Amino acid sequence: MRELIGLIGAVDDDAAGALRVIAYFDTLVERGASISAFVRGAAAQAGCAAGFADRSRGQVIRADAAGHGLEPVTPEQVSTVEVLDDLGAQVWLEREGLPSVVDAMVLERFAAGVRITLERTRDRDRVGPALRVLLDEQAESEQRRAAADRLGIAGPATVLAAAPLAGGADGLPRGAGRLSTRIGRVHAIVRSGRDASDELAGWRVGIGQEAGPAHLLPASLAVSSGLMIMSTKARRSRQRPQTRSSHSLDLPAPVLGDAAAAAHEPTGRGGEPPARSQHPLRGRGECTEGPEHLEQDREHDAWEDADEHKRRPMWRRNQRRRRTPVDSWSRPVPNAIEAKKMCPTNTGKNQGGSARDSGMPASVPAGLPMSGLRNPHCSQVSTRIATTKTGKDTEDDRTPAPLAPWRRALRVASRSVGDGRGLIGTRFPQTWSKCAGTSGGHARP
Amino acid sequence: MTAEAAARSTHPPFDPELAAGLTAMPRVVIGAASLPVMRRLIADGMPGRSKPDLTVGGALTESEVTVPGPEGAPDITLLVLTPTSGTGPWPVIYHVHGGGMCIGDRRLGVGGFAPIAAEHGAVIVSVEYRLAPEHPHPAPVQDCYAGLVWTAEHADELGIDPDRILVAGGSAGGGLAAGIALMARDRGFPHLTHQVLIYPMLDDRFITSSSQEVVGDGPWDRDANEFGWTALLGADRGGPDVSPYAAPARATDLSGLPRTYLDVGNAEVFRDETLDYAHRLSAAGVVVDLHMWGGAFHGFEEVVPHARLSQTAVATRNEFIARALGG
Repeated sequence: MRELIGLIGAVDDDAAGALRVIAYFDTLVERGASISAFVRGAAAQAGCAAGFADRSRGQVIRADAAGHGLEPVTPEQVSTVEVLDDLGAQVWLEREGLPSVVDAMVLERFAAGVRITLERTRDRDRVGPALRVLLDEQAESEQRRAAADRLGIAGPATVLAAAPLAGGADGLPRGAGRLSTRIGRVHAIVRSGRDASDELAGWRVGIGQEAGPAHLLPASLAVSSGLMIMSTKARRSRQRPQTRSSHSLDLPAPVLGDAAAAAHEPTGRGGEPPARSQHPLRGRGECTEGPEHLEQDREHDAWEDADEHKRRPMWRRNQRRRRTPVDSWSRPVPNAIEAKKMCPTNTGKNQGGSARDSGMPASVPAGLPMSGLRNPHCSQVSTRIATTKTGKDTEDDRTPAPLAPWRRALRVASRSVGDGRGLIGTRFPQTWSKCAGTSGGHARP
Repeated sequence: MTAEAAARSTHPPFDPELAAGLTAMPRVVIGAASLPVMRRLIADGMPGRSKPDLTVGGALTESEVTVPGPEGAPDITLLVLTPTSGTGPWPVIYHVHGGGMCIGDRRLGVGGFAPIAAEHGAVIVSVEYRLAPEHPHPAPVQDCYAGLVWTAEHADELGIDPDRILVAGGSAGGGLAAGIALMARDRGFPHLTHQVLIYPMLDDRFITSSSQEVVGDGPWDRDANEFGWTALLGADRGGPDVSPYAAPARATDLSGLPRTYLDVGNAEVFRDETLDYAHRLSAAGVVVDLHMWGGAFHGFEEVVPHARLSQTAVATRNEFIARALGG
């Protein structure tokens, strides 16, 4: 660009000036410069004062052509303004007299750069860093408490993991922060208590257990992320009903994963949080299945994959089905979760009755085991949903495989707590063996 | 900056605002062919930039004097800026311009000192020295020293206090200012109170890491530096016989030098030689102020004056100069 500017500058000063403006603001955007850098840049490029105002924060930044800060007040009259209405902000040039040839270009690039920067920094400025600390297993308790204070969270809270439904979401939900986990970027929201279901129309959501901030919120994130992914899988499989109609499972999405730790409930609801060893989720993490069950899960996984399924010969498919022993689903049930569908049009707690386009029940009681399937409700769940969806009985009790995503998700979530290493973010089950290798406490029960 | 240049450069990344300013600047690679263009560019001013007002809105008056050069050499011209209000004797800022030893004139860079001189009441004397490669070492540094001697000897005429002389310069001007400070110490005249060396060009040897880090980007890269030193020293560059007056980093004894202010970019050719000079000056008992500006390239506060980092660097430097001038 600099070479080009030099060349063009030799023949056409105006064109070179426009290129200079573009190059300048492009570099600021590329390098993630601050809003005030854009204001100084606009002022310097235009050769007159420039400003930025953020109505939502009551913030005004102004600079003169030399880049020196001016009094942060909105001037009564400015020559040109670009309003970023959806962001509640505006940028302007304070040109006295006739506009310069570069003014329009400067203002346009200035506004575009400010827009990108605002969108990039706003949620980060407010909640991102605090959320990252709050949901970081490695963070000290004190740091986590301080982060909770910054987020205005006192007492028990719930972590929601959210992903936008295709075409459904616009912007971030209130209080959401992007977190990078091993499964990729997750929008995490921490809400006090169980008030977790509002404002999430257009989002796929997993909801973790209610917990006190100091120790348990990372676990809540683990559960919610797992559930969110699980609901993603369920949703994906729902889009291909023709390949598995006889036992299609249409899981509600979003789903609510309650820690189901009522029996162990000493957790941070007021008072001191329990010591790590008393963590109610820890025990569950340790009693998940061993590697040989993993093998089964791998098969399930492959089996579940519709495209893969289609590629397999029928005899092989049947063989695999048969090789899934019903017995393996009859292990002790250490915990159960409550699966609940939240209708996007509903706010507040959804205990049932309301339905979405699919006509599914809004609330599905489910017994979802961490490591086995003794609870008879499990098969009922699959049956009921499938029936509701297809309008006819598609129950197939001998093929519990559709529940595998639930199990995997919960297991990953619980493992992340169980071995204390924050395994949430693992792409299961492909990396299962690696996880198992790093967490010695996961022997077969 | 081309991708190829980026791959060859290993310096710390530039500050975002400085990088933006650099991108928007025409790039001219210094060399024998471009030298006339560069000199004309400096004389006429950068395109799109108004020439700095050296009088600071009339607070200083501008005049020029022609004074004898070194023995057997032509006369030299000094630019003199004197406060219009107040009375002397003033402290003096003896300014040496930059330009890689081969470009620039007596007006280049003076604008950076004029406001502080106007505010705190000081005379600025800026010397026009002969340029390499037409006039290799020792012509530039001898011209600078001759101007300094004349200034100190004509204190009454200039209305200055000969015991309050501060030498200052940026880039090659910083190197030459350091050179004349060494000469003044060695020859016992004049007495200097301060040297303000802004990213000074001190070392012709290219033995530091920073001298190799900047290639193909920034306003002054390794190749430009090599061109400048070769213009000044010819075949002697990097050899055993280079005078410390030409390359002050060569000086082994730095004791007895004036109070020193050094500032330098963290991403420029002269970083390491400046840090080393600060270190050795301190070890020699000289009081030193050192500022290294993270992510700053050579000449950053001149190229992108509106950037936050530039403003901070200039404010810090001006604060030092104000103290030095007794303000």
